Amino acid sequence: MRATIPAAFIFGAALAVAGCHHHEAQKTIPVSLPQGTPQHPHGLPALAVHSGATQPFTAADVSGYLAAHNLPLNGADPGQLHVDSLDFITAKQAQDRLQGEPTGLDDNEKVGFVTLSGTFIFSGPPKTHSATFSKAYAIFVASTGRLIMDGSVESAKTDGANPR
Amino acid sequence: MTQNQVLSPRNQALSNRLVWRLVALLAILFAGSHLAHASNYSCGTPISGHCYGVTQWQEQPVYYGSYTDLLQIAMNCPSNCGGFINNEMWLVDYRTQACLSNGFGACWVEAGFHAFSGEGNPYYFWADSRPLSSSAYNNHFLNQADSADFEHVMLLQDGRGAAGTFQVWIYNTSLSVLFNGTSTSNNMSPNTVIIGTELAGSTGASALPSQFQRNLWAVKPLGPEYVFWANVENDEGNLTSQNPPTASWLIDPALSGAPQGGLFTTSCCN
Repeated sequence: MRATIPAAFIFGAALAVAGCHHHEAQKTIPVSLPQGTPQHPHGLPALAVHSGATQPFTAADVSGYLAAHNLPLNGADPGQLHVDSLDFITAKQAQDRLQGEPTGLDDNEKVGFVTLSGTFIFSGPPKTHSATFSKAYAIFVASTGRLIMDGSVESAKTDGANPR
Repeated sequence: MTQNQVLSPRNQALSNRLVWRLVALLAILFAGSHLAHASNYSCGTPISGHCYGVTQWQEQPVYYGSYTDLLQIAMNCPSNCGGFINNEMWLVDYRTQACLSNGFGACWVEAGFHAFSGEGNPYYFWADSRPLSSSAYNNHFLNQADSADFEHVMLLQDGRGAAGTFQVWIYNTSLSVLFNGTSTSNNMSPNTVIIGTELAGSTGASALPSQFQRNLWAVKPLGPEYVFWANVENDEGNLTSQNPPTASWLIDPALSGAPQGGLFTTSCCN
């Protein structure tokens, strides 16, 4: 209520100053696209990198991270997630696994591609269902351990498991 | 200026712009002063769904893209918030059959600022939901943003190559921030543009008033001329304010002298 009165006053003043609605014909305008070299994704801080080890991080490291933080944007309990695999592959190979979805990294940069099983629930914009999946993935940059992507792997479960 | 002086159309436009900016500033200051503390809310189980403070446009048969200037002020979701809060723009297809059957009941691309639980300042992000049976849904976590960053967010169908390609840009005027993503195999036909705030969880999230300005939509896909051909959003769209998050128009885009696409604001969470 405290905010309503000044807001109403301001809006009323705006109407008085600026006048009524306008009905000009739409004019299509050109908007320049940004030029330049895009930055690489840095991602979220996630895993410590073991320098000098055969692998920069392990499946156990990933399990520990997900148990503590959950998979970002997953609405389901992280306690039931399981790391099925961790493969160190190139960003291009990861893109191929994701039906062409690019990572934003250079093609030859190494990533840790993690496949997960359990229950994963993701949500979207208004008037969409929350979708439930039994397989998901996460991508960590091999050199930094940072998490740059996650998402679904297989088809969502049937509509009955996907409430609005 | 004496009473007899008449402003030229250009000066009148400048005058109007200054008035609108003053009005917007005052309104934001009032709204900000109301944000004394974060509170509890119910936006957050996967079953009950999230809360939104948004406006959406659905008047065109197809939106080939969308654009907004988004001022990100302080936003936070503490470690006990149980969810997240974000400010963003979506370009959505709610009608193509392959989208209706992808689990979400829609395809989209989205981009903006996202505050994760316990991670401090929000992150630039983008995501997509595609009409595919595998790898349909993907999130991209880009980089942590500074408080008070003012960014341009652009989503645009790319007509230059393979079908189903959408370009995503998040950038500032100096290009010290410049991210580009590409959604591929996304054969959607967007019929909706949405801007605003999404809130998930139950307690503690907060966001000072955001500003969404220069709201535009693309009238054609990106071509070899490499231009976003835009029309201005010239009405308020369909407003949803679940309070929290709170959403409102500070400047109706239909008003005479209003800045292009008006000035839309959201805030959260008391």
